[in-house]
Amino acid sequence: MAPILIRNAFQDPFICKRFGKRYVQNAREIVIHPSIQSGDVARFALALLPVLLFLAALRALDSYKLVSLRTVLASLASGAAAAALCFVINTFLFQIFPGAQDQYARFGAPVVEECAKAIFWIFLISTARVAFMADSAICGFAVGAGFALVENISYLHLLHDQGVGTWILRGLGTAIMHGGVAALGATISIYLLESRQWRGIRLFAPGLLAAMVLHSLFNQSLKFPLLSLLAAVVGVPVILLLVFYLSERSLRRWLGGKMDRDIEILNMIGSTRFQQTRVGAYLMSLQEAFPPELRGDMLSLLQLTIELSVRAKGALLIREAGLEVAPDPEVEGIFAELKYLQKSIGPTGMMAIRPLLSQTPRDLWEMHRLANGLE
Amino acid sequence: MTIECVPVGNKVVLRVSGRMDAESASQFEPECESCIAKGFTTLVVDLGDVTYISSMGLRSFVTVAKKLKESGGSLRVCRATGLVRQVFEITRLTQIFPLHETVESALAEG
Repeated sequence: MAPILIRNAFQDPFICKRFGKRYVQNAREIVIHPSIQSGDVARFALALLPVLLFLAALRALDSYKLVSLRTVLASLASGAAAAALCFVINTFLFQIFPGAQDQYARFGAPVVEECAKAIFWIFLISTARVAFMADSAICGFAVGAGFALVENISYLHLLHDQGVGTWILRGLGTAIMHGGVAALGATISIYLLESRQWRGIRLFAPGLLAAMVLHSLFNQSLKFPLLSLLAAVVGVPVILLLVFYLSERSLRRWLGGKMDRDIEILNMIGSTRFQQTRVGAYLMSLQEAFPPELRGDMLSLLQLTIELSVRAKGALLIREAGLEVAPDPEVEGIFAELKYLQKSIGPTGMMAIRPLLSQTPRDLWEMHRLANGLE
Repeated sequence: MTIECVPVGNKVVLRVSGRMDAESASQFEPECESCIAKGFTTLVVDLGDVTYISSMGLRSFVTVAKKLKESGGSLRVCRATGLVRQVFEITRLTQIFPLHETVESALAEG
């Protein structure tokens, strides 16, 4: 275990600066304490506890409770896995380019590490598991915190004789940076998704690039550790608080507007004027292509989809007021009915009614949450 | 939308009529707050003559229900029909304030 820890330290510009290249080059000669001492645990806690508390505070700040504890834990675990993956990649690259440690730590490591961290937040966004800036920020920060957790464990041995100040600079500052840049990357992607100007894989490129650049800047500024710590400790919370404010405002506006449109459609479906509405006229236009019973199923599918959408928004309204949402025993049956209707309508019929079904990322997010018992 | 407040003992019945849309729903919350300020802790909202309710209206109901719950009181909703009843049931706001068929049954509860 010990040699692994030493090799990992090569990639850290702080370690290179602090101990000097010669020390690092001769790292294999260092005698390392095999056991973790109580002081190490205290330093480790000092570096990571504020980050985890900040993560908990972010989750508490989210009045709609968009992210479940399960997703936060999964994000932390994926961040830890990303750190392990980076260790393997970084070690391999160090062996190939042994003379470029310093440059790699400044420019190469941020690229590799941000790509590894991004795997999970890109997965969450592309599968509509997160759809707002606030939940993407929480999950992104959790991924970064998980990454820092493993990274700091690897520094426990190496810096065990260092003082509290070093741990605050190295552990806390870097941990906040890891969480902050991943959160920012995910938030930028959601912003672009919301504005619908970007689609596909390039949706994630600006956020990922921003995370890499900020990470690299942080690594460059380790010559001035106090300044980089200050930038991370002050900058990240300020940016994330602003993100939360904008996210809640956007969510509130979306919640009201979309819910009113859904209620209006429900009202139309139940009225005698339905055939004169846009939706009714469209369904009537399909009478040449589809038999009446199939068009009936199409209407039922539309109604159930809208009812589910209203149901999800009702839960958000209750959470907005700080009240608990009870489990919904009817949802399972509704989803079973939806499945039956989709099968009955068939792929061609589903294509025909697609213009009537709202399929934005937030609509898919609602369905995902309902299917998972509002998590 | 019009709101008429009728005190019944230590409770108050609010008879709402018309469309409770984004514009008119803003009247509802201050009216309820005024009743709470007068000392009423049980509010019965009669929705028999309400034909439409928007998200803003629903939000007002949740806010008032929360305020009353915190002060040990309760919000009761009665005579909701058609779309209004459907919306309350679909959103499951009925878990915060159950729907009653009549004003009398809402007043008699608890």
